[in-house]
Amino acid sequence: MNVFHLDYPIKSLRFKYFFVRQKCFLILISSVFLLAKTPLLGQQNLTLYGMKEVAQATYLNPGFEIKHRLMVNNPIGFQNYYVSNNGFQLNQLFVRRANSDSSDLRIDQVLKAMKSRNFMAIDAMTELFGLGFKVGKNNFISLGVIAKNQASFHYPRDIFALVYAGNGSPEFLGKRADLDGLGVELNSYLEYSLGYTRTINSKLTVGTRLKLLNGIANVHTERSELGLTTDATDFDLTLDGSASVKSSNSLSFLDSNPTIDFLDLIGFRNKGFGLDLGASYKLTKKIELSASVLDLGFIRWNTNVKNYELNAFNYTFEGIVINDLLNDSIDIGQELVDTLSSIFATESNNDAYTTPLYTRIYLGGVYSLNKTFSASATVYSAFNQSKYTFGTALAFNIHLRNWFSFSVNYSSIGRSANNVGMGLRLKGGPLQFFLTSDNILVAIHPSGARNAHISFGLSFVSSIKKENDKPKVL
Amino acid sequence: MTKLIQLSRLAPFFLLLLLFSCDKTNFNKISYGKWNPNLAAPIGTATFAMEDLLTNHANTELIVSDAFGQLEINYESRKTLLRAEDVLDLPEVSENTIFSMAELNVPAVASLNQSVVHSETISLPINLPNGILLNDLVLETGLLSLAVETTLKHDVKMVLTFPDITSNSVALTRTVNSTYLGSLPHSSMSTANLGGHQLDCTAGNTATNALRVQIDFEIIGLGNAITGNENIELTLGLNALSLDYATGYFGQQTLSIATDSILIKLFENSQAGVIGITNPKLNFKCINSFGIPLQIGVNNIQTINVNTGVQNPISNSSLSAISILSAPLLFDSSVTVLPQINSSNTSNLNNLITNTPKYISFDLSGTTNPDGATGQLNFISKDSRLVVEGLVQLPMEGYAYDFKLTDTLPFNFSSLGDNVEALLLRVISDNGFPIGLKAKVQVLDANYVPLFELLDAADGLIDAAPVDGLGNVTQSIKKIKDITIPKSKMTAFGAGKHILLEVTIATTAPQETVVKFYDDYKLAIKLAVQASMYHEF
Repeated sequence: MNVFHLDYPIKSLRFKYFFVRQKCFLILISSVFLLAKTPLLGQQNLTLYGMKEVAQATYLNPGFEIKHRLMVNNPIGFQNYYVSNNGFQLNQLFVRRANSDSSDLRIDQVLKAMKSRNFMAIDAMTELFGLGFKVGKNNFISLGVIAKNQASFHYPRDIFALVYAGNGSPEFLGKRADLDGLGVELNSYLEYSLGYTRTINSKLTVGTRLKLLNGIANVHTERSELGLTTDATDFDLTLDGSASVKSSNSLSFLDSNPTIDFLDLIGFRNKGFGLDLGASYKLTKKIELSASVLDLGFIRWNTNVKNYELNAFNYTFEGIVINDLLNDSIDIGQELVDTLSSIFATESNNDAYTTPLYTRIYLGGVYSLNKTFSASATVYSAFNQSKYTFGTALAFNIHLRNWFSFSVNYSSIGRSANNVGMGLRLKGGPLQFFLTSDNILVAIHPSGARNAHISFGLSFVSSIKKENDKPKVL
Repeated sequence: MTKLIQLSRLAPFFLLLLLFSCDKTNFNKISYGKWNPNLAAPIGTATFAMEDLLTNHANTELIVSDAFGQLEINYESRKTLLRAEDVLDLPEVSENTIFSMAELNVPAVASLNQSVVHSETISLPINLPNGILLNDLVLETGLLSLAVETTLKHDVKMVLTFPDITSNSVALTRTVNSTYLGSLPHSSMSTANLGGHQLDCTAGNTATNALRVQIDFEIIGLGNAITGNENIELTLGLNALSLDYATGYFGQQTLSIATDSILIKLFENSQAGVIGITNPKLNFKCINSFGIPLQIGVNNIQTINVNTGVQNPISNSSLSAISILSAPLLFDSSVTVLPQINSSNTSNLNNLITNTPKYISFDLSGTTNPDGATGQLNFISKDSRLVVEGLVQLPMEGYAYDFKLTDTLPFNFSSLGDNVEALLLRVISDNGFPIGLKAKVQVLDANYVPLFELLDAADGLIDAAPVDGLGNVTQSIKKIKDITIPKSKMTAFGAGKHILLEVTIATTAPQETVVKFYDDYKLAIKLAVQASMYHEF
């Protein structure tokens, strides 16, 4: 068993450095763990969905017809990265003065831009192994191993507004500063998948992907409610809220002398299952429709579980009791500390818990103008617990025979209404490379962007020869 | 390929950099501007009920409530006018008696070889002043001393019996032996502890203030001659006598005049104003544990202004000669309440309630057995006292206006610094008392020079609760008073070292509306602060 005890003599300084660095990271991510129902908001990949000729597009719809006999996605495979801050843009924080190269820090502008709930997210997906091959004429089997890492920090607007304007400002005097939803989410797991795509007939193709999941680490906010109300008359401060945070292989490492067993991380001790379903249908020669549901499933977290529960509280601070102040025997400071300690007392447990996967739905339609040009539309929906995200994309695509594809699209997703995406596929022999982004404007005007996305991959593919149906191998 | 893989791993960081980079923003040329949040918080709450006043006041100033809960302020004094030793101070007693051979019926002989006996009774007087006639006296402590000295060349034995000194009805007896050892004079002595002994000072109803002593002499012959010039000298002493109790007649004693005073602090710190208390009272009470008829007088009642020393008499002759009851039994006390001085029997009692702190001063005098010896026995114990209590009762019923209190308090808000742009101090009161408060607050520098006025006296700080026709509060009254310190005065506020507080108190308007105070009245005060902060980056 690969067990490392920190209080044992460390075998090398490298290990020690690793643990210190890991602990610092965990402290960082868990330092704001008053959390809410805060789903991880992953990449949408609207551009890639519209480029079904890219082998990796089957990760978005296993029901896409696959025109390769063999597909090997190593060693780069499929890389997908998404960064987002939907609360504000950098050019709203630093507003440039007219006719000057100076800028003003404008927190007021940022606050105007924010909605009541906002998040910053990083989503990284790395395909560690990918293999697919045709079985018979109509069946395609695929195997894949993907590492998925998702982290997000969710912040309510009022937490900044409260600091900026103060609780005595007209915005908050007599009103509740809504700090609900403050928190972080962290989810890291390995996905082992077995895909099956079948061409039913010349029009319909269906597919599915079964996933066995290995949870590595998780911080999950079950509930986070926090409010501060300042009475308009006597300025009494009422703090209300409750919180529930669950974690596996993360917060427990903040304890002194943690023991890390690497099998807890990669030994399928946090098991999960997932399912992708997809289909595509050629309605006419020019029109093809598709739909997919991804990541129906869950992960059961069992190892190094550390859950924190802060029961619902509602405490009003009315100032010190001056009568007590006159009584020398009472330590007012200590009394206040005792009161707050009893109110904010957290309970912890080590009960295993389950988190759902981030389920997404794609609906797509392609209209082929001719052999070279096509137009497509994609509708995207995502569900995570009670959170729902909706997006649409309209794309124009160019296909030059079998070696080049180009797609440009306009999409609106969530609060980001003006995104221009672009995708490129190049194929030389069996080597196929693609590069897509759902928002290329970030490269032109990064300070005005709310999200950045890049997806790329390299595959060795063997295409089907139409004449004799033999693989073309270099 | 390896480099490509490594580059791919850096992709998210490039993305982050891209997202948060600013192609046109020069970070060296950012004006961070100012940050001026507005903060508000409660400071504290205080509730003042009459019960707090009832328990927190000094012993000399009590606020008490009657059966109906109406309150009055009491100022008390307690003066012990007479103690047991003032009436009966037991003297030291010493009596010397010389017995000659003739008195002892011993003739001159050349040689005396047998014993000669003789008995004699003498009296031991106790001299007391002021015509005091003791009957029985029980001593707490005391010492009887006996000393015998003789010029006889023989042994002498004396048995002294004190029939009037008994313990458990047994008379005290002492034997003294003086042995001749070849030198003259020879002597001997003895003592007896008289603690707990009872002395019959009437010598068995045969004398006054005297004790009988029976002496049995025995001269034991040693064969030496008796010339007839020898004598036997006996010295008796009663020393260190202290009283347990005594009966008798303790004479007509005039007690020295004692002056007592009561400090009325109610108007301490007050500067001016009008106050009317509808029914002030001055009561005296005598507590007597002597078994002696007494007469006392409370005279020369006057107020003395603490500040000016000006004296104002309160004329009332009803207290000049008051008979005080004797204690009914030993160790008990009688309580005699003297006639009350109030506004109905004393015209100038209002001197009591002018708005300056003052003493009420009065002289106390007394006489024991003012009617002389009436045949009734007096008694006295070691704990006997005559105590006179004075009580000024100021019922909290009346009116007040323009009543000013002033104080200067240390003050330091220099630590506020430049980050506070403006302040608002909010005073929220819910007043159930029929008394309101206006305050003028000035901020002073270290030299007590006014810097600015924090609060204008024209504005009420706490309003008086309304009252009905009987002076009872009908409902509490709420008020929110904001004390603002604008930006223009913040510098002066920070420089302040003292605050001058001038509080004007008035009962419920209109003036001279009579209000009453009851023990269920409450005043709740809440303080809160709002600060406009300022910070420039």
